[in-house]
Amino acid sequence: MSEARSQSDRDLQDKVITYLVDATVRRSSAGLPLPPDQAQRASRFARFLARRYYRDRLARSFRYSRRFGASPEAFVDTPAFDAFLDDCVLGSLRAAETVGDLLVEHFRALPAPGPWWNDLLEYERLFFLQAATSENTSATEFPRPVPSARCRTFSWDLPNLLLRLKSAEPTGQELRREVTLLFSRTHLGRIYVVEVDEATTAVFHAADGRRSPAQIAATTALSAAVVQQVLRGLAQVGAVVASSKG
Amino acid sequence: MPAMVEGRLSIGAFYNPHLAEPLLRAAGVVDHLSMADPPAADDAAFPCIRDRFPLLLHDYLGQLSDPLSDHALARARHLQETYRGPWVAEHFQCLHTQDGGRTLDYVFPPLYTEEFLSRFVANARVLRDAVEAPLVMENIPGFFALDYAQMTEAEFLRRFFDQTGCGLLLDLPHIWLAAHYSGRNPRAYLADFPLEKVVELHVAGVEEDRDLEGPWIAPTPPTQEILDLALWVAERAPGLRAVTFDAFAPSLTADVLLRAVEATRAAFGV
Repeated sequence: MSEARSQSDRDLQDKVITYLVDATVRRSSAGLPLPPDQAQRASRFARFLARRYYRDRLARSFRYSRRFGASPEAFVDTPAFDAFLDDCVLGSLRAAETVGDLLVEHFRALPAPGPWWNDLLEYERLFFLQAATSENTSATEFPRPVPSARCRTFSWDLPNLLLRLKSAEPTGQELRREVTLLFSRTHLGRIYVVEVDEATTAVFHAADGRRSPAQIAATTALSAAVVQQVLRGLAQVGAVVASSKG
Repeated sequence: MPAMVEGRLSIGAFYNPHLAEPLLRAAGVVDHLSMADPPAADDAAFPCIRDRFPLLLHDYLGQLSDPLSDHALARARHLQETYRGPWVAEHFQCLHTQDGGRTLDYVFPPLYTEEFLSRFVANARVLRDAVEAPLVMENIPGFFALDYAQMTEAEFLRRFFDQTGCGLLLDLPHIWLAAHYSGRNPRAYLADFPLEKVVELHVAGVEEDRDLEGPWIAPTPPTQEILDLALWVAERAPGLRAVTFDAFAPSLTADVLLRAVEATRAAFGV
């Protein structure tokens, strides 16, 4: 334990948390020096935590598709999810993408309740990416997107479709309208889904961490003032990490 | 806003928003409600709930292993101003890494060391001052043993309460599980706990978990063993004021909640 004791106890606790969160750390020799029986218990606890975490996030994110017989919680009890747990890094974007893709594939096999079914599943998948990603993003020299943030154009008017589904109202062709939505999550955990205009969409896609605000303005053919305003808005909703230069 | 009952134990439950209507109809059975989440903006029943029940703040306010941010302190203050309960609860837990990039998203105990004791003492004082209310702290069980502890859980808690004057929220399923997984009897496990500091008890059931291959906390009524343990503690806890059925889950039904509270009332003769 002498190596571990050279750190502060708080640092050591971080190591314990990381051990439980990250299956690759548990498999590596750089993990915690636990006797075999306790290591086995820790692994069981890690699986318990992950199953609980994704069950909760799936239930919160796939709230509308469940109205059509799809059960997001039941997915965490399938063999496919068991296999995922063996490599899971709890709260990572990669894990959220894997679980989201697996679930959507599972749900797409169900009879579609309407022509908007694929759009609804995509909406819920992108919401889930925000709910199930807890990784931090540090500031870089230039503005860049938070890894889980997504900007997607749908063929159906999702905001109104969701309202109709919530109140069990009919959903007809009048809801067919292109709408671009931005999905993001602040560092305090608040999730945003907002309809965005062309300028915001363009700035979001151009803010790749390699372009300065002036270069983003040149790329998007927007004024510097508009770009700055949009970047501030994107940072407020957790979609973009502002420049480390302020 | 109603006050906690005086002259006897208050027997309550957690506020589960989907059970608001049955809770309002059962106001004679449930004395108080603990709030694990802030009321949702579209929770139409909450104003009636607040008018009918004393409310206890039992939200996640922050992990006291680390200093709380100004935002977290302001949020805690705001919640306590909303509920105006006789005390505020937090947990002996450390579940997020310092950089915030990793989280267990579940209660998890700190290492029981001098450094963590100092951290919890300092940060608990700050939280208590911010909310301007007594602070009670809840025990959290471990599932596996680490060789880094410098003291037992009981010593950690005793020294914390001696230094801060905070109260103990003793979660009995947590005690039962900690005892179970360390191969001890729950009463023997509690032998060195500062039971004289207990202000509130949590009771609930346990169920087998497939991943843990053993029992864990469940939103089910307390077993007779848990209720017997609660009575045993109550005899040693002169400051005990409330017993709360600790279940907060969308799957919880009104029937289970009310049966659990009624069983607890019967056990305590309330």
